[in-house]
Amino acid sequence: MRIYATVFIFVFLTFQTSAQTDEGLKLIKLHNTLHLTRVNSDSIAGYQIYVLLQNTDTNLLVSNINLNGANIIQLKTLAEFYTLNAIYQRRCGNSTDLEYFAKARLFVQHCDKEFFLLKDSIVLKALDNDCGINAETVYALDQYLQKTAYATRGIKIDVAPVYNSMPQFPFPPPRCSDYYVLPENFYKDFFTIGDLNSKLTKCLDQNGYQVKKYYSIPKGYAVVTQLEQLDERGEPKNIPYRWDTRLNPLENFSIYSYIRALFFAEKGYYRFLVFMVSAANPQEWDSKKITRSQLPEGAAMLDKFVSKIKYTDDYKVYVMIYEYEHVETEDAPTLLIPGKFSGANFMNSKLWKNLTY
Amino acid sequence: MELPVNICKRKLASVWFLGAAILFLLVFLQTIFGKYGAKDADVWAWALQTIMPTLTLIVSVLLIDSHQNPAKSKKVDSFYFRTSLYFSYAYFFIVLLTILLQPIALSYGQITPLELIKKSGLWLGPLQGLTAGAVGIFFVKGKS
Repeated sequence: MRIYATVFIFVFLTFQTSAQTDEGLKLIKLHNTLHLTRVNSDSIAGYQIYVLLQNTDTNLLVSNINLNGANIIQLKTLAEFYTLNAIYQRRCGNSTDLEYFAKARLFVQHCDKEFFLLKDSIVLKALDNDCGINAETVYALDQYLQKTAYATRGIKIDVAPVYNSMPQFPFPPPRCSDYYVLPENFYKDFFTIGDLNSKLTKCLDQNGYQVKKYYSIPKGYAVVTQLEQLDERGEPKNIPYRWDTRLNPLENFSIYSYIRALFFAEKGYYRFLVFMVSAANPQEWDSKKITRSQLPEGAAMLDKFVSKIKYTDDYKVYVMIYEYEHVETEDAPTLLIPGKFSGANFMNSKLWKNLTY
Repeated sequence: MELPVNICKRKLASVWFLGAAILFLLVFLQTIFGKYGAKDADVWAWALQTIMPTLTLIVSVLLIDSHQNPAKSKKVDSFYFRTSLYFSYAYFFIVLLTILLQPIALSYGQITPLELIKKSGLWLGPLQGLTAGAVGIFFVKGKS
């Protein structure tokens, strides 16, 4: 109720302060300034943001913008917002140009307990579709929030963004068999980290990794591949055995394979890859050993907002290899540290070549 | 129809010695090559439990016979002999199959060798009872 009341009061106040005709130009200028500023995507951890935007018209539509589409909703559902939410006024009667000049103010709600009204206004320009607010706007808000929060409230904001809908990948990352950083020639022509993801997924697709899961990590995201079975040379097995995690000593039946399976313990080698796209250099590892099944179910796609975050030179792709050996006499697979097949073997793989050339 | 008891005993003992030797050799090689890892003691316990009771009976009777003066003309009903023999064949066939089918059970049934050995009590238990009974009766009936 307290939230509703505050928001209603705020809507009322913004109604009373309609913008001037020349405000549009002013807004554009301010917006551009913000847009050129580098945006730290990890600035609003633990906070829910509610944005009120007002355009120069008095027609008001209240909408929930959750970056998944423009769902026009009633203000009463505000409490249901979990990630970034924005409430804005849309200028009616001029929907063709899809250009909105808006005056915004921010609320930061911390852990559903305390409600701040940041004193300054921010002016935004939303250029996209009915959503009325685009990624650039969000960057600007993000930047503004960071500055304002630090400046006016002393709020420490430095962890993962709440507007990220992807589940969290353990961080610091659990110990892996080996890890590599993709070399410089991978990072070409990226404007956003979504562009980076496009190149990454293309390479993964080319190597048969059709199913990928996305996780949130500080200052970036992680892409996790399916658990795959390797042959004795460390190469992924052929379909369908590649994705079959069961031991199968007789997949190519022969007298030799039978005798071998009769007298020797069958071993299966498995691995999954984690591509950590992050501006945060992981300098420590969690000693806890994990298996693929212990990870939460990841998102099928990269979060729409995260994909729009501007790429900078700070972003690196860390390829972490989790390699396991499962012997038929043991109940659970063992994480191999260091890996049996990583190292030179992985560097010579087709995947690595795709990524680095 | 009656058969010479000594010949029957030796034939039956030969079946058991041969079967036990094959089983011993298989498990021995598997142990040497690390098939069962740290759990090889479980497999040896199973193997010895599978053959030793009946084999001990056979060896004991043969040893007793060797210290006595056997009546060469002693005969035994062929029914007892054939029953014991066929049960012994069947028993060793199933015991060895339990070992030899391990790769197939793992590939197609995802049953590990140790699981298969533990499960084998289901079918080997009754068969072992019947076989030991038949062999025991034969040796007692044909006691020189």
